[in-house]
Amino acid sequence: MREITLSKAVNEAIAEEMRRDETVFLLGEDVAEAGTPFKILSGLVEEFGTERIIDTPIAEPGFMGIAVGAAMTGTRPIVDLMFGDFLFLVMDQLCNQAAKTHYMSGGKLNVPLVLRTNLGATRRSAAQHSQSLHALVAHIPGLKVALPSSAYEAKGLLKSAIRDNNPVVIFEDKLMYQDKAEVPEEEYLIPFGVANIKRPGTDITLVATSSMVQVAEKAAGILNSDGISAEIIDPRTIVPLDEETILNSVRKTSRAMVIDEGHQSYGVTAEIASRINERAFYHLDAPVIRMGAMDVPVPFSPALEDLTVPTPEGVAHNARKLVRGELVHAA
Amino acid sequence: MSPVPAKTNTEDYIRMYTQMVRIRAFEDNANQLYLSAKMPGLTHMYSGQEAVAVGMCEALEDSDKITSTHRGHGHCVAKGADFQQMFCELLGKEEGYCRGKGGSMHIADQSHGNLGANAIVGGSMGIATGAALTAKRLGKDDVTVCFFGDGATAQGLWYEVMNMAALWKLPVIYACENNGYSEYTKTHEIAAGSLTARAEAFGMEAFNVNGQDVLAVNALTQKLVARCRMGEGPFFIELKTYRYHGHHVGDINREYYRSKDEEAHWKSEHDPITNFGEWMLSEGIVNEDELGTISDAVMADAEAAVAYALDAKYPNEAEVDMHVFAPNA
Amino acid sequence: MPHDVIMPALGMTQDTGKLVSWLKNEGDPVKVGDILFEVETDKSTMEVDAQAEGFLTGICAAAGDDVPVGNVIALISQTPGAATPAEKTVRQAQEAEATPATDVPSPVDRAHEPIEQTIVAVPPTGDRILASPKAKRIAAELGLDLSDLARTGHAQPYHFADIEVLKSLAARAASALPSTDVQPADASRFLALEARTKGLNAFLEWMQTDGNIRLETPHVWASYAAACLRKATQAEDTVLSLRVTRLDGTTASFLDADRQRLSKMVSSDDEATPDFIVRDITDNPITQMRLGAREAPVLTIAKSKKHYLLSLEFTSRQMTDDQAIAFMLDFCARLNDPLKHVL
Repeated sequence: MREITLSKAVNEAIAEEMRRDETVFLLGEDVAEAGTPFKILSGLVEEFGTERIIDTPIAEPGFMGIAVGAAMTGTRPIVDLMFGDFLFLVMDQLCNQAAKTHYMSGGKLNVPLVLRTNLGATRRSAAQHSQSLHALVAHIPGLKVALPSSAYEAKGLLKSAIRDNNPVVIFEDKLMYQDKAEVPEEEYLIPFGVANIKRPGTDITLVATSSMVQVAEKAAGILNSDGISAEIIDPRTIVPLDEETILNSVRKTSRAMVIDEGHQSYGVTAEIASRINERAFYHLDAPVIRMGAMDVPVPFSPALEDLTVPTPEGVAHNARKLVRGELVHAA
Repeated sequence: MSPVPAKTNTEDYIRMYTQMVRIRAFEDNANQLYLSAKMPGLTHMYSGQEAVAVGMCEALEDSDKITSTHRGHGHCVAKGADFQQMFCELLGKEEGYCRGKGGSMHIADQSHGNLGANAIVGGSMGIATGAALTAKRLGKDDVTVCFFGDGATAQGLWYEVMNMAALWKLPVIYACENNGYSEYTKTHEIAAGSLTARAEAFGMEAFNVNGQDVLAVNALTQKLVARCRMGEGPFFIELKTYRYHGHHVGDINREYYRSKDEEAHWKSEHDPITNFGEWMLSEGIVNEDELGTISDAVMADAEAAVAYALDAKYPNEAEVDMHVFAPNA
Repeated sequence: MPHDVIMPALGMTQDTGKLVSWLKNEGDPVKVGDILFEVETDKSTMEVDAQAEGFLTGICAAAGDDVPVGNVIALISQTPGAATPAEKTVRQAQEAEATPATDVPSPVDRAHEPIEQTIVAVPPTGDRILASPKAKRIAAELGLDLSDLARTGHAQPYHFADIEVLKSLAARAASALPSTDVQPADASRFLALEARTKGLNAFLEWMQTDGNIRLETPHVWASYAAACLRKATQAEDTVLSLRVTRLDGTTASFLDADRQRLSKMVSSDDEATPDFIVRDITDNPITQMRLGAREAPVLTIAKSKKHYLLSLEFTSRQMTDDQAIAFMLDFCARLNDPLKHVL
């Protein structure tokens, strides 16, 4: 099968959906001729014109609000939010308006919009261009949240997001834009709420999202040489969350770690670990361990920044302890 | 009243008068429901501003859109909603327009192009502009009216979306109902310079109109709606008006921010319903009896709707997590 | 029709309003906007104005009254004549019935209901055993007691893998257990195990040679049995009486033998029924005695070439099965490592 970059996969998904549905359009800062700073959207304006690939002023709340109104009245906007960190600028429009409109109207109004943005540290971009803020929006009822872990997921999830009748926030890992993966030529969709068993195993379950799936895979390689078999579950969407696949895996392995690049406190790792505790407690042979980003603003210095995110070695170290019945935290 | 009537059709005048009376009657009943503890939550009265909602909405078609505010009952009535479903919504009943999930601050009759009342001050400015973008993109000739108060002009969102609406020539009319008070504060204390000049800074045509004169409001809106349909939008209108009640029901001791004399003056001199009724009498369009008949019918309609809503059933408990997400086909 | 004057709801959390004073009197003419009365809410004192024109009548709340919001406290009538009290009472009753708030279940109450129903009290436990939820669940399913692992010196916390060790421990004890058929409470129950003599022999020898102290085995039995009984039955604060008997008819009684020094054990002349009986037949070729339950549990200690043969007879009135098993395992552990007992 051909291999393409995550960037190309996103571009293909948008182009295919815009060809398929006239009501789909895209707006954001420098999305047309510039094709975004990451050059993800290059070529789209040539095919679809500036009527459907719309450059906006630098006014995130403004174009987010416009997208909400456009979505409520019969179109399917894709909002390009250049950095995930800018979510804080659009919170009212996203969380008070888009997320609640369907409910507050008693089911009469829909907001079928996609907010494309990114996450991920270690790009030496410092504290305001490096955050992974997906837990923030996952907390708000009415928003769906997708976390593609490769080019294959990026394309299939984005196409589903564009066709969804609800506001969907999709976070791409900005370090993965040039990573290649096998992506079929023929059309496919990845349904929401269906986790992927990325690697089967028997001794421990590693639930990993987005950028952390690669970290978990490397950790699983290390563990394998120690004779430990790790199973990797990629939820792919955290809202909705495929609990059953995660729980079935944990019931089988009796041990689980949850790895996510958001800050560890009050985050995605905490949520998934809690659900495992609540629903698979009596199958657990070890405490569920969370591994998220450190609770510090992301530092600029490479020497410091690399310390803030989970590493394959760190994941393998904790996994090994759990499997051997050693304590990760004092009893 | 304006020297040149905007419409010459008697039926139109009577409908505008009736709609204003309906808004007043709705608010009087809502006020009573709230004060008598039969209505949960918090609510904001539109009384005094009727000519704005009616004058503007009467210039719109059903397919045109509006966005509304926390003081939104008037817009909802003016855009064609009926009392029964509105009172049901106010009381959180299943038959409400939003199945009781929105309440006073999110009330909307979506089937008549009302995109919803918004409880975030200025929160709907993006939505209105986006609705106008849809019309332009899909080649429809729908116009969107974005209602907001003078208080909302302090929100940054407005300047962001005005900029884009002007750049992209969107069919949207920003209608600022300047009732003189931003919650409990006089407008001149929160707004520097001129509001119309702010819109003009974006190269947008801006207008001032007496918001107590339904015919003046209607005439200007008709003109601007027609120009929007021809691609000449967006526009800004500042409508000078007055709210009779406090910021919300319960804000009754308000002399620290405005005097009773001022309130009495607006009620006696600038009431949009009284003045329009007198004008219709003086023009021989209606007689006293006919006006009385309109009021009586509206009152009876409102009372019946209140009684109906009080008896109506609450949503089933199973509704609580329904409509969080829209189904996918 | 008269217009109701009501105690207004002025705040989101307000249930009642305190009427501070009336500014109009019964029968006074009032116009819309006239101040009728002052009300004190949780936040401040407010003036309430008239919503209708007419005469203030039927005042039924006085200054100082706390009135539920929404209640009628007067009327504005077209005539100055007062409304009758009966009329007011009826009106208020209707008012109360029509108030929807009363039939809406409070969300707070509803949220708490199912939680309270599902909470199950967890009985207090003694020494906590650290074990994984899975290990605990599997142990419970197999009817095994994780504390046996602790007693036999395995390191905590326990995981699923430790269940195998626990199974082998239990299998040794279970080989001697009678079937679990329901039996009368006073039916005799029987438990047996073998322990090597090596541990105790070495200890006794060491005491003799190094300390020049000769210990009497009956004293050892009494001390061990009392300690194990106290622990198994959690009898921390009880005086335990034990009797050691031999087949030749000699007996010795001890009180709290486990709290006496092994080398200076003092016997008691208490003739009452003891809490426990040790039947010492180590000086006799008989290796098993099953004589049925006595007035107290009976531990028979016999001896083969290299083993002590221990058998316990008891009834479910005297000890639970778990206590008996715990007693036996503990006794065995002390035989294997007598120093531990002394320390």
